Amino acid sequence: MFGYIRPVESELLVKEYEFYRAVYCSLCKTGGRRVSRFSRFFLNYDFVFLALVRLALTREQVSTERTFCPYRLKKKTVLAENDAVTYTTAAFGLLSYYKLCDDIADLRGFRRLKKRLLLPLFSRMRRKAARLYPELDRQVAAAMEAFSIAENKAGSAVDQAADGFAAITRILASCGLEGEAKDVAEVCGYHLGRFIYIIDAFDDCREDDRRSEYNCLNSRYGSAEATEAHAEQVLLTLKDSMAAFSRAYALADGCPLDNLIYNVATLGGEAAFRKIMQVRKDTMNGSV
Amino acid sequence: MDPYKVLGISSDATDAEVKKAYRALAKKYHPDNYVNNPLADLAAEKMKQINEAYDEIQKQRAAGSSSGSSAGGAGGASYGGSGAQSGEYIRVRELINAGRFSEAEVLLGRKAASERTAEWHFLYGHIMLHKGWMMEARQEFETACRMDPYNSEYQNTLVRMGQGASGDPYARSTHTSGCSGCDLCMGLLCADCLCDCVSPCH
Repeated sequence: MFGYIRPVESELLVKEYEFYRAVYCSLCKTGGRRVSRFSRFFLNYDFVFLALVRLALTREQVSTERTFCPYRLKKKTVLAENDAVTYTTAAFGLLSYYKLCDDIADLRGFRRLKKRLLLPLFSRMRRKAARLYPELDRQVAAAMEAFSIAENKAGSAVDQAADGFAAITRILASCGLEGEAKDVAEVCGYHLGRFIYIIDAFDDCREDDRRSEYNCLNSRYGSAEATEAHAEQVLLTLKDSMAAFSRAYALADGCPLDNLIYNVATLGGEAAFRKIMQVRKDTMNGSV
Repeated sequence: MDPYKVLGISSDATDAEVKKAYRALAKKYHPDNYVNNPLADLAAEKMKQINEAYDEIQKQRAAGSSSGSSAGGAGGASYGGSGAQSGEYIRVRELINAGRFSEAEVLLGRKAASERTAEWHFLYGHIMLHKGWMMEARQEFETACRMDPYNSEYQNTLVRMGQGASGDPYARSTHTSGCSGCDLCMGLLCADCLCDCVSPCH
């Protein structure tokens, strides 16, 4: 997960935004304590959203508290330790480790060496996370293996390529849940993963083209330029996924987090894409 | 279960409030929103609960004057479809309705590319939609609409695909801002009708 899924803050109530910040700080704090201090530096917004979805689906009652943040040197509001947050930090630890292993297998030269240097730190993170949620570790490891194989076979089929990663996020969102919450979490997790995979491919299309690395969108459209020319088509499929996410979530809504979750899904997804387009435009204008 | 709780209203709600709450929930969980969705069963179950709760309240208030349920009814999320269907795809529709998507995909896969009709693309799109393969699904639905622009079943499915949850306060008609082939065809059709209306009698 790469930090694309964020709320559109201007549309939130102040208390909703404060809650969102509290979840972020809780993940940082709990991750540092339960998984690895190192995880604090890699935490991203996609996992905050995952924590929100888990909180909403499990209906876990949480309270907030004020605590000192050693990195910001001031007091911050965080959630009192709860299962959804601990689970999300473990999910983050596991996915980061398996993604690193996948990168090491795919990359060559200096970039591979850089990743290798990080391996001991991530291994420790995975060990601690697996001790907390052994079933999640087993499922993510199997799905990651299937993902590597599926991506190699996918070629120009964008949906097929995204399917492997979406299967991983489906597990991250639903593992340990039961009944209705599990069914909803599976569909939400799937579309969340699909969204992240495709938007990341769009973001990286130029870089992947330059390095001659696999990118599902470049394979479909022919080149990075052609991918950018089809930006609206890519946006449409991203919106389709977030619409499917919202329709699934609606089956379990009815908690105080609904507004926040719909904000991220409906507005945040499109805003992330527009931001990538804007950055690209600014870069091009700057280089002319 | 308390029927008022199911509809999310208090027991002293007026008939109008009951109806309003029922309509909002029925719109939200209507099976049409979950066509070929893995959560279709769950949505149907919710819809059933809402219908039962509404009926229960109506029964309890039988002495009152509220009548004429506007219930759309849960109905079935089936692919009976409103458009013309050819006999050769009835079996595929049955399989899809039964949730046997892999078998339906195999049956459709037997058709040569040259024999694929609008209905073939429509049904194949449903299989893709069920998998969560939105790009393929949209492409198939658009092809079906292009091949049979007057088929409302195909068009409605394409429109619904981009719609978020009805309870989503941020859901806007962002998906309909573009001009698809179907929009174009419908536009031309309307323009043609208008021309007929305003043209002098022959």
